[in-house]
Amino acid sequence: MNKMKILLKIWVITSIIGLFVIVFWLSQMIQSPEEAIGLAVDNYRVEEYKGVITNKFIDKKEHNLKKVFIRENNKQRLILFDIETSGVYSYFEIGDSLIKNRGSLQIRVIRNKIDTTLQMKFIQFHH
Amino acid sequence: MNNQRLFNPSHAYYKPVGNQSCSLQLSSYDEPKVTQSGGAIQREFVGTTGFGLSLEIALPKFVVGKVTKYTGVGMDFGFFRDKNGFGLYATTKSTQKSGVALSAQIEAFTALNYASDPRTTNIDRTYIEGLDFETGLGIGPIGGSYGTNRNALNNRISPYQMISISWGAGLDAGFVHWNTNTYVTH
Repeated sequence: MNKMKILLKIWVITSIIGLFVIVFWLSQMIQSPEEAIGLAVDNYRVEEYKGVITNKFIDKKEHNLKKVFIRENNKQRLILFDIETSGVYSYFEIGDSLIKNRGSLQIRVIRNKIDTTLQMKFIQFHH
Repeated sequence: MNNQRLFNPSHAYYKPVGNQSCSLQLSSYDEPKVTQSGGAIQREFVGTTGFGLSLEIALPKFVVGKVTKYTGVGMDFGFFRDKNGFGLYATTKSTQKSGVALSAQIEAFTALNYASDPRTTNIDRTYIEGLDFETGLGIGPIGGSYGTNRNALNNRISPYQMISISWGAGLDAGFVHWNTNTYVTH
């Protein structure tokens, strides 16, 4: 009986310690929204591509990601528009030519000889 | 007027190429639905939540040797609730990295959202569906895990962050990096 009590005590103590450690660990793992969004926008800025849209869809089997496939140098390339809020994804049509230069947040879309420049916008954060 | 609404100069401008006249098909453009405070959103901290059962086993590479390329496998299943009601979920886990885990636990999870869909404060169940990474830590009878989308590894933002805490019978200490695939009922 005493042995059971000791085991129960050990179990309770390890549970409490484990809970504290894991809650602390999870709090360290969770990325702050400001940091994550800033990193993602920087990544959008440095990205460059030039190609023709061959397909676009919202992937319901993969986190609702907005996927745009372009043909670039005879290769398929996937471009994601996950936190873009101005609606450039909705504007795109299959067959459009996309040109995005490094360091810019603008995308040139050429469709039927009409040259359009879209300014990407991203989600912002309020404290 | 309609053109100004859809193509705000700060947002987009267009020009004809060569001598062609400009004739954009504006009807094909869906205006963004994010309109709160000039596009800004409030902090979002509500997501899909659920309860289930978690089963895991993982061994260090030197123990597994060349018997199998996988060093660990696991499975989570249970029910969840999102803005569309209740559903069932199942997550398969596998790893080829060294790890230590041996547990059968009940788990509770929540998915945190701040980026994927600023139009809603609740994550739709489809946001958690698909391939992901998960890191699990076990201490005594308590386990925890942090899951995120693979996009995060490419400096993309993850549509969600999922945290779970589990409780039950398990190894005293464990740490595993899992590749996961989550299925949900629609």
